[in-house]
Amino acid sequence: MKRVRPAASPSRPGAGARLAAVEAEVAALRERLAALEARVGAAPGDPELDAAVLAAVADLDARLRYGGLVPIPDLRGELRRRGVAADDAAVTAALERLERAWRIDLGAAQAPAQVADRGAGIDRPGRGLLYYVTRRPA
Amino acid sequence: MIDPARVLLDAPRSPLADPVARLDAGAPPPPDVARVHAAVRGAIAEAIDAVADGRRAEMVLVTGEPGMGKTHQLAWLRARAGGEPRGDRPGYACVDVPPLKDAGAPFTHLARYVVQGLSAAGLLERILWDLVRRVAAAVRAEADDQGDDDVVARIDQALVGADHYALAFRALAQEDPGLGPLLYQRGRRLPPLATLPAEFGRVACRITDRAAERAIVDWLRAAELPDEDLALLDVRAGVDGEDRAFEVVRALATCTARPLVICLDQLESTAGLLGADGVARLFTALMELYQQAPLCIVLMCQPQQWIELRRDVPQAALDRVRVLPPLAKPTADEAAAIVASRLEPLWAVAAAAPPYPSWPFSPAFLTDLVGASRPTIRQVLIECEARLADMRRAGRVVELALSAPPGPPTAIDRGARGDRTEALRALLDRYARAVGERRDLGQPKFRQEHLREALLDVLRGAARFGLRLGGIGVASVAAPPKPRNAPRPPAVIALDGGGGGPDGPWRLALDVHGDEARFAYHVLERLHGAVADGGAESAVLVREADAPLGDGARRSLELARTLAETGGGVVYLARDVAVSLVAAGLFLDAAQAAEVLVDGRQVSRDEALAFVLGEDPVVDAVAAILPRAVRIATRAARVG
Repeated sequence: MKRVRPAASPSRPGAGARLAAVEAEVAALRERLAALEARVGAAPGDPELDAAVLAAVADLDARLRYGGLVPIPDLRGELRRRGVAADDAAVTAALERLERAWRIDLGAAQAPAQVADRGAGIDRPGRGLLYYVTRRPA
Repeated sequence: MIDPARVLLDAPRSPLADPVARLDAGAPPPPDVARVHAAVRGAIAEAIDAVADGRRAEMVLVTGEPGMGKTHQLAWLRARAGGEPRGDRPGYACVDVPPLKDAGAPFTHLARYVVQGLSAAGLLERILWDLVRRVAAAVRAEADDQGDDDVVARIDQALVGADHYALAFRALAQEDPGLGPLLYQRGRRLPPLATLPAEFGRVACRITDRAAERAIVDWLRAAELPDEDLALLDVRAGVDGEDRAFEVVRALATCTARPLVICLDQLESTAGLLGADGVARLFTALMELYQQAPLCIVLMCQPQQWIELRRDVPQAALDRVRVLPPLAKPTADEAAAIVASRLEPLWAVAAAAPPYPSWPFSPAFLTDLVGASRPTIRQVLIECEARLADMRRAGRVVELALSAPPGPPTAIDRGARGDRTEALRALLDRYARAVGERRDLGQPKFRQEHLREALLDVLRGAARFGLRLGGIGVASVAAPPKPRNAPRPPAVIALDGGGGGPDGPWRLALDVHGDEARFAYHVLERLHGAVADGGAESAVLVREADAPLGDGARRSLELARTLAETGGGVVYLARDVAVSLVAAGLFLDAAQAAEVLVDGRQVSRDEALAFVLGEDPVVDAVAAILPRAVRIATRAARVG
């Protein structure tokens, strides 16, 4: 009876092949890391940002007892502290979106020259310097 | 069918005009008030119920931008006050307290306006008689237990029927003037007197003596009573200190069966006038009341001002005040409801049927308006009023579909709007009319403090703007705060022109008194003392002509004559002049609270003050106080 010989085991790779394999592995890891980085640092979508803004307003109001009137610069700072990767323009857009949806009111500073951080407000012709955000009753 | 356009064009005044609730204290609030801010009314009603049920204090703060209806909400609250039950809930008593202007005397301020407010509402005497009736019932029960038939029989002469027969009790009890002192003597260790300050109980029980009834109210409102009135009440002193004033408010809140609601509008005015210290003192006083008296405190403030003020408010007060969320801007539906409710009475009177309730302001127009600029309620009305005014001028009503800006001003428009002074004058006239009609300002003694503050405001303004009054300038105005347990010293006005001390200006001591003539002695004595002590060269007491120092005030007249020798004396203001000055003071307060608008633009307190200082009747009235002093000062300067 003819004995079947097992297939010959592959020969041990050479140094060049091993290096290529490691490089491929590193490249794959880099890709995965880049993908993860992209996911972590990405600006949230509108619904996520809106929810983050509302949550931050509620939290600031309760924690610092603003009496319902939260300064927008404080809100921007709080969002940054929470790691919400949204720039000022995106936060402004979210505030305006929430106001249009009647979830919040934006209030103009009565004395815009005296506010602490004028640049962090939202200057709107006809309405003045919007500087405060108030949650509307549900 | 009546043409709704014709109704709008023919209306004598615009239905969209936004009346200032603060002025017409007796007038009903606009019809839209009941349709907005329901949560605020609910929270205040809850607080009143908690006071009624739990006999504990509640403090609610309502914040809202100017023009969001805070004062209208207070008017609504006031309009429903009174002894009558609210459905299945008891009625409540509601008093307005104007902004505090003397940081040294917050309790005196609160007590004065609580007592005056209850008195003007016809509730004060009722509260006192209810109290004395309960005392009588308690004393009778104890006397009955002890077999003291004489006392039982004596009380039974007056105590008939159930608790609500207080007025019958009053009529019968006053047949026996000595009953009150007996009730105090026998009842002071029993409830309800045992829970009240002894002095308050003793004074309240004197109410069975008809001769004492009026003196009791004057004592409670911290008038400086002559000795004979104090003797009538069996007390040695009036409510001259902060401690006694506190006890008066606490006692009234404790013994009233109806919850007492104290409303303080425009907290920001107190801050503007007295600064952080004044706010801190006001809240410290409110906290003391909160801890010891069952009453409901309703505060109103602009939210941005509150953010600033709260830094100066004691933490204990912050922990206890229930801060409601800022009043929310109106949605399109709410704006339509507000406009419709203002137009509704017009349609009803004319029996007209518009295409829809807010016609000619379409839902699309109002949606566009609120979406574009998020206006306050007042701004919605102003925007609509501007367009309606254009239509009325053009004689044609056009349905508005989109929020285009009002047309360019016409010649008439410019004439009507361009003159801010005329607009301010018309506003001030309205204030004067309202002051003349307000029951809580209806007597010289009730408006005495307002008159004093208004005079000092004008004098301070003259000093600041370099205005000469009656030919003489005002260098400075010093109004020392009231010491905690002593009467308030007179203000001292330094007049330009020399003639005073070695090198200084002529100093005029000044006070205002609106109480009965026989009460004027003490204030005249202080004015006299200011001159005698060298604190002033002359002194003036301002009274209203309706309250002259008659022959019955012999000692006061003697002091007045002495003051006249130094260039001062008693100056009488005609009622309409006094009312104009009080109106000017309220007008300045309103401007301080950002509530004075002309052509939709806010009038600052400085602008309002400059306007007031340009009004001849006001300036002439203040100048009338100075002439004698001026003559003597000028003469003295010449001699010097």
